[in-house]
Amino acid sequence: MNTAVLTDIRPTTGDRIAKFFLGLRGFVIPILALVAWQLASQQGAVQAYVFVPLDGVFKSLIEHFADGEIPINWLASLGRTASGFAIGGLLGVSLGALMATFRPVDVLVNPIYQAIRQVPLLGYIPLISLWFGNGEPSKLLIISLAAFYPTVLNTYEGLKHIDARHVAVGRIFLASRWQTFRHIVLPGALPSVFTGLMQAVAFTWLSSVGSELFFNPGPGLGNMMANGQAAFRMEVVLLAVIIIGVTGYVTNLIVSKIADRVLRWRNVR
Amino acid sequence: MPFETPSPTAKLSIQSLSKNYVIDQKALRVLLNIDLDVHEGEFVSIVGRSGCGKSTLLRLVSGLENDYSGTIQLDGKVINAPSLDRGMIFQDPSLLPWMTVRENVAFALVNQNIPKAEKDKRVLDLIDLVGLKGFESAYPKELSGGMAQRAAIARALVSQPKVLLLDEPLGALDALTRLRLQNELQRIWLQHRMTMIMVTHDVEEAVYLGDRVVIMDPEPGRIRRIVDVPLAHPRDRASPVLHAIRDEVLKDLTNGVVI
Amino acid sequence: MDDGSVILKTRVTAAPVALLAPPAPERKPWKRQRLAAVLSPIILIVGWTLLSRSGWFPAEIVVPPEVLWTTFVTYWSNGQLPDHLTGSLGRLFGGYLIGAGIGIALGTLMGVSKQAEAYVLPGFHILRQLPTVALIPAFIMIFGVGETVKLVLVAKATALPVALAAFQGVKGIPRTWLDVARIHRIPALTQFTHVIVPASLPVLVQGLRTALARSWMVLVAAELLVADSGIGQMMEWGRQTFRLDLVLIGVVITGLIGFTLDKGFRALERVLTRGSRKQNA
Repeated sequence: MNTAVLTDIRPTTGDRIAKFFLGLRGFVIPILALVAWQLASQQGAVQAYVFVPLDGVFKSLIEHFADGEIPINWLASLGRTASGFAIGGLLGVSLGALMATFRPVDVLVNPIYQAIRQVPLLGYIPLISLWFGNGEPSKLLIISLAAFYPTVLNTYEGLKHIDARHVAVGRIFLASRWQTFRHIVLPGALPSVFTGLMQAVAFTWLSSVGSELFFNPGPGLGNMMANGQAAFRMEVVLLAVIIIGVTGYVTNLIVSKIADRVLRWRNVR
Repeated sequence: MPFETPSPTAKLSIQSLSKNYVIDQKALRVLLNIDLDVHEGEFVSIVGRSGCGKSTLLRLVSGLENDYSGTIQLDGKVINAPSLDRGMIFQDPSLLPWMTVRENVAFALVNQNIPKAEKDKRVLDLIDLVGLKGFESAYPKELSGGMAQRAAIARALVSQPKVLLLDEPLGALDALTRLRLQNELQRIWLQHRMTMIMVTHDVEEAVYLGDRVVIMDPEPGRIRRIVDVPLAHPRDRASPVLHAIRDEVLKDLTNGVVI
Repeated sequence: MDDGSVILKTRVTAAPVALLAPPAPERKPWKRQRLAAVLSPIILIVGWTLLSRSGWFPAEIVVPPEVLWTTFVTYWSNGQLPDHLTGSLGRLFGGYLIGAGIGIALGTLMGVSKQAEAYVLPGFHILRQLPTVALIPAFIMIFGVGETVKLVLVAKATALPVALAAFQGVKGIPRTWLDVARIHRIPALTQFTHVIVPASLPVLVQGLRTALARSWMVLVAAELLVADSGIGQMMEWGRQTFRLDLVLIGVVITGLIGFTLDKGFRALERVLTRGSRKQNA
């Protein structure tokens, strides 16, 4: 019998280079799309209106950063999102907890909550506009609602579905009501509450931009887009879209890092 | 089965215990006329086919369920609610996933008026006893099945119960871990000499650990027979006497049908 | 725990327990539950009626219910409301079908082919970061203000989540199922129709449902901004002419459509996925 030949299975430099180039395959389509865009912009003056040359977009990025247009609008949108998130999230978690704890609240509020939730959020804009005007309060209301919906639901679900085994553990060791809440109910519901907050982050950002598109006064990335569209300046619109995408991605990343830290005991598979 | 009069040394005394569940307005008899006395420091194993009510029996003794007829007494006191003098271990370790091993074990003392220093010492001593030293700050997700069950054992013991109830504690473990933990259980039991009642599916385990093996019949759950295991601890797994008793219990359980 | 799936069987009752609140009486009579569910809506409607009668607010702000009803009847019988409805629903289903088709094709392709995954998936994740609502102005500039832009927006809002669901559905198929098919030397096409499709269906259908809800929201938003018909346009027109009754009717209809689409899809989901095991996606 021959002994088995042990081969070194560690990746060689060649393997690593191959892997690197294979990883680049994902960039092929985006690059092709950008090239197509650039070619389209060179077809004539009319096309260049819609398909603004990429160097134009880059130039306008520098320009609008320098003249403050981007920072002002960006910070305005961020601030609005943060306030709406704080208001809606706080109210949402409180209401969800109340509904899960007190049956009368559940019975009275749940049907109404379910009913209002059926209407797509931005569909409320005409109504809110007539009732509360087109200013800052209306935007804040929409954004707060965006944080409110998912936090109510997930807080409620989290508190309602505490693992019965964990509750039994509390009973065996004669934990008081407060101790049961503090050590079993609260941590047990936390992952669900966080899910709600994470959805709220994504949803508030989107509705912040959305509400700015509809309610014109005041700075914000949505307004920047709306004005860009009105003036037919595609490069401004595109810049706003890119900033919105990057910001959404980064905030999402930050929040999920926070969740991973706070819920580090959670078994993610 | 001869009726046993409660002996003066009996710690746990169960007399004509019956329990019904009501399902769809039909009474389901889970336990019927159970009589069992468990002496101080005794290790009693309970075996039986599924549905013989052995887990229900344990839950009644723990006080997690209290709707029964008959009497269950510990040291002459009627049992109808959980108490720290009866510890319980489930097949599922039921550790709280958001607490470290140390916090999980300490949770058993959550409502006890014990000075913090003593609490800490007891917790660490027990973690040491079950062989989890070095894993005090580990979360349950970082533990293997066997380690998690060790932590659960430590948690059940830290409140210094008089009786430890074990509901198929090793049922979900792989064969090797299982053997190792059987030895651990025996070592802990010998060290503390507390009363232990263990429900198990594994006849070998029941015979290896138990002073007596209670064989139960299903529908309704009742005691069929109690087999003595007259061997000193710690025991030798290879002992022919042990094997003979195991075969007898197995035969009884399967009604003589060879499986 | 590593073997958590095995030890989930527990002696403790597995039903969710009411916590802190004293245990609710077991199973209230059915009629009382029904009553409880309609109690607060009734209170709301009665309160609304009383408020509109109180004279504290002008009738244009708090529209009395009976006015809402007459407006609804008028607009229904003169054909305007049905026109808006068919306009919106036509766009929704048109765009949805296109988007779902693209999404299913791309997602499945990425699921079965490593090459396709490597080429397409990263671009996908980039696109996913751009909320559809934020794309409305750019799309209007590219596609104009006609029907095309709404179809494209709905299709975009549909295609991404559907593709992702199809991809995850195929990826989530347990290896052993495919191994079984290979061991029995089942032809690739049969493997596809008999293993891959049914096994990935539950996840896909879930994705299709969320996509429908999202597309509806995007369409309403798009109609608010740019349309000559549709429920969204009707609401926007009501806003400009200060007709709160029209706006409210629009809001209610939008909600009802969203609700019906979701319920209908859930019913379909139950039929389609009967017997197929829920995947841990």
